[in-house]
Amino acid sequence: MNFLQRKDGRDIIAGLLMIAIGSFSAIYATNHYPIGTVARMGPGMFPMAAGWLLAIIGVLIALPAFFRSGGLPHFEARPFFFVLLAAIVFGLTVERLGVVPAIFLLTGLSVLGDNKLGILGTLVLASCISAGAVLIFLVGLGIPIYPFVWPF
Amino acid sequence: MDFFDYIVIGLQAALSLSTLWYCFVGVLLGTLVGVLPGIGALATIALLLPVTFHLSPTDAVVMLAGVYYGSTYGGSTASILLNLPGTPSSAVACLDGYPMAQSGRAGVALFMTTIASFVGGSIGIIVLMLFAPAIAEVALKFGAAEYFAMMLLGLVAASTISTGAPLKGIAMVVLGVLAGIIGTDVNSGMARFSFGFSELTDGVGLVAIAMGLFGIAEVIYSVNRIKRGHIDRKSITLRSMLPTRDEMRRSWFPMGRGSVIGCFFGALPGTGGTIATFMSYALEKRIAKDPSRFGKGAIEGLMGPEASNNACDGTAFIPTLTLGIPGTVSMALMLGALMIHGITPGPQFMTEKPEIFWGLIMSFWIGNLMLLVINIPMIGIWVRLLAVPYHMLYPTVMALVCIGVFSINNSSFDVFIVALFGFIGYILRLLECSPAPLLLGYVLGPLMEENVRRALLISRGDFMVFLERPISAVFITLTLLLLVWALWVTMRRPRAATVSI
Repeated sequence: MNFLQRKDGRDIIAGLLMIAIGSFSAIYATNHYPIGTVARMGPGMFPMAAGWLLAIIGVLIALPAFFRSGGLPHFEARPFFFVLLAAIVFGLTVERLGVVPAIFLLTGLSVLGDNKLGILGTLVLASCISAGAVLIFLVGLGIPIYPFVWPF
Repeated sequence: MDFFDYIVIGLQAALSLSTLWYCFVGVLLGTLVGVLPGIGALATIALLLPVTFHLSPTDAVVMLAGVYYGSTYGGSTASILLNLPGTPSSAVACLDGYPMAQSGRAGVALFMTTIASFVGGSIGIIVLMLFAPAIAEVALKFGAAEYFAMMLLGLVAASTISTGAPLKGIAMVVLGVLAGIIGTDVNSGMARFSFGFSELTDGVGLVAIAMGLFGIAEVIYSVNRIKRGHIDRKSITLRSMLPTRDEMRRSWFPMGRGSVIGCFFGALPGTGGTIATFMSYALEKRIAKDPSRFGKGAIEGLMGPEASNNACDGTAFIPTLTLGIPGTVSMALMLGALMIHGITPGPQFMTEKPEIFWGLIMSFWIGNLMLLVINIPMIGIWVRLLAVPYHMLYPTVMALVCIGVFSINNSSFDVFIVALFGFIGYILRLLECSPAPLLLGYVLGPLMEENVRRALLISRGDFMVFLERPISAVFITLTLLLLVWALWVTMRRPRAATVSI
């Protein structure tokens, strides 16, 4: 980490990430899909070309970054964790419990991202969002979503 | 049929009751999200995409377009009152708008930016109406080689000009192209990069990607950044909005010049409102008799840029509707909305579906008139809205994103994809990789693959096909020039590629 902070760590990580994604895609495509010829391309040709291209650009991004200073960006761990967790928990619960309980869980978790809203405020907010969502999606647009699902 | 017949067809479509309603909903929502910092037009258009499945194609694009240009109207409100841009392209409005507000001229600034928006918007629509048919005519002669070359140019331009480091922009485009490959290959029927998930054989949904990159990632990024300032609400009355004669006189020419700049940059691929506003501001400052007034509340520095980014909104539709090639991400989403309804915009679009094409354009006039009403008498509501704290707004945004995405297929899988792209989007943002070119690459990638395969099939594998045809050769040359410039910029000074005033 010390090295990444002294050099332009941001671009080094970006470049390495591109190299990893690019070469993985290219190798995966080469091994799993027919490449074909230039005149009659198989399904593997285009992803292979795009993958290697990305890897080359990754090298061009990372290399110069080793020779200059820059440092690392500030990572906001708290909102990052809670906001993503809120979305995942929503996905895990929405089919089993219904939209309204899933919204309450989502709201409760995502407010922890900056922790400025109290428990009462969160409950009021979640109720408002639930009512709004049911009104807009179910009543207004007629999209079949289930407000509650009884698992028993 | 001549020009005026088409206009009549367009007006008939745009004036139907349902289209008027969705136009109103669009511009109202657009103003709302434009006013609020931390929620952009992009995330909103993405949020509304699932809703448009249930509308007619005309209503769908009219509403989405309304969000797009409505947000440009609203964007300057937060810039003027809080020194915090509501949208990226209204960042310039902070420079002279906020000083105006501090010297008690907030009402005038808000009123005059709405006028500038209307003037700029109108000029943009006129240019769109005059030029779109001519460009479509030329594009009718394009074959697979020209299309591929043009998309290449569009993508390279979009990724190198507008974002920070050009190389990272190109990397994002290629990453987007790879994301677009996920799903079933049209030519062979083979599922690519699906890693055994049956849900992935249809590809990753546009809505999920857009909401992840621009909704969730934006929320994570903004949570600890957006602070609410104090606004003196009572000072903004209708009476306080009346400009003096001198302010009126000084505004006309900057509005005209700004509109011309906006029309130009709007139509170019990759550039857009943000660049146009910077250019317009720089121009006004350069030709002003007393440049030292700029930054201290010079109305010229507010009017020029504000007219320019609204003019952009009109002409940005030219490449999207006539060539089927979006220059910006919002346009890519608009294109996606049309494709969902089975319509692929291109040179034939305006003659085959005149009611959609001209209906959309005519709805711009109606939408702009509505925005005039929404922004001037109702300004008090928007000002009050700015007082809603972000810690109550972002859980609402999160809920809307998750329900919206879930409602498309009633599938949790899509929610996980959104979370995944929120994760990716935030990491990319930290690494100063702009997610906008990624989405463009995702939308254009499959079209590019199709055209390059077709072009090389016809030429029996000879790459010279892209250089032998004159139009394609011009596009390829321009692309190469841009790439050389991008490399030169990167190697010389890594962080100097931002626009400076």
